[in-house]
Amino acid sequence: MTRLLQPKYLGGHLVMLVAVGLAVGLGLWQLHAWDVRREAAARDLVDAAPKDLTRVMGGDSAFPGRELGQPVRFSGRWLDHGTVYVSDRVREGRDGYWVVSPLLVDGSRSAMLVVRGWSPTPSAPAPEGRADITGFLQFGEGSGLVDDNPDDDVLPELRIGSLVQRIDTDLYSGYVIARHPGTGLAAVSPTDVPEPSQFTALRNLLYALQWWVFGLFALVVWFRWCRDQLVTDPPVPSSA
Amino acid sequence: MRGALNRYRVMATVVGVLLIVLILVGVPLKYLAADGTGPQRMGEFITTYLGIAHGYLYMIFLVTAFLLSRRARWPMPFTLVTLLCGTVPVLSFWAERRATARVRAEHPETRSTATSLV
Repeated sequence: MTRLLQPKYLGGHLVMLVAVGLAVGLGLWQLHAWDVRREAAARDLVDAAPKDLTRVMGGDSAFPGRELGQPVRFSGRWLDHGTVYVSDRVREGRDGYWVVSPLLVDGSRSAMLVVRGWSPTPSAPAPEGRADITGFLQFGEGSGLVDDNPDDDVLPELRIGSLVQRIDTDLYSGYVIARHPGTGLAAVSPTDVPEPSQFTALRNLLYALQWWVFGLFALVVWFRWCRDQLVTDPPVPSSA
Repeated sequence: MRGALNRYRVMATVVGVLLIVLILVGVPLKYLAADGTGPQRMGEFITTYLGIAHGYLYMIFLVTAFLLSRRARWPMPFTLVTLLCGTVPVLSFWAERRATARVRAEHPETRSTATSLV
């Protein structure tokens, strides 16, 4: 066995170590992503004290994953366009729509999408003027649902990218569910957020397993290679 | 030997074509097409579902390639290059030709007419 420690074989062992290390590391990374997503989904921040939005994220910043569900407060002015209705939202057993309007946040050039409330029909009075909002920060949805009719104001999911097309102001990379619903609307609870993340999280777990299978494969290749070397390179009798 | 070669070639072709659709069609559509449009959704679909399928098919490809390399007694560097080239779009086809040519040269019995795949 010690013959395999000869310098000419070290390269082969090194390749194996790097390959296995990479596969294990990437697998752990995916496992971590899986964990973080589940944790974020399970965290209950409903009763946490609200933070100022400006301290949580800026108009151009990426979504701060750890702040998912965090209550935030901010003030601003409603844009005069861009209200949309997100379909298939169930509230107390009834199917309806989320009413979503962009609010230009004071002190920034970006608008935050605000879920103003729930309505049984895709219609609601347009918001006007200024507003102070306290609500729950959420990550934009995006499971790739197809919008059957791109020309109306009804969307199948709250995907920030789809709204960038409709609103001529920069958007925050997330949205906020208002704690207090707008006039004539029913309140939406953060627990009503659909959970496409189940699939995303599961995908991370499957990727982790996939990486470890690759690592195992690298080990098998290395093992066969070692055996081949022992067969084609018989021990030198004088080395004793 | 001929069976191992054919299994390898089928998997190399499947994985190679998928990889081209995934990287050279799906990814540009997803990131370059305007958000919310048909082509962009197509890109999302391709990268999500073909991406997952490709991961598992690539594992099968690795196994077929490795089994062939054992049968054909390739040296380890040749084997590794063949395995790794399966991850690079377009280059995977070159690796498949190179591997097939080597097997046919070293094992004349695989050369008979019936093995033509494409």
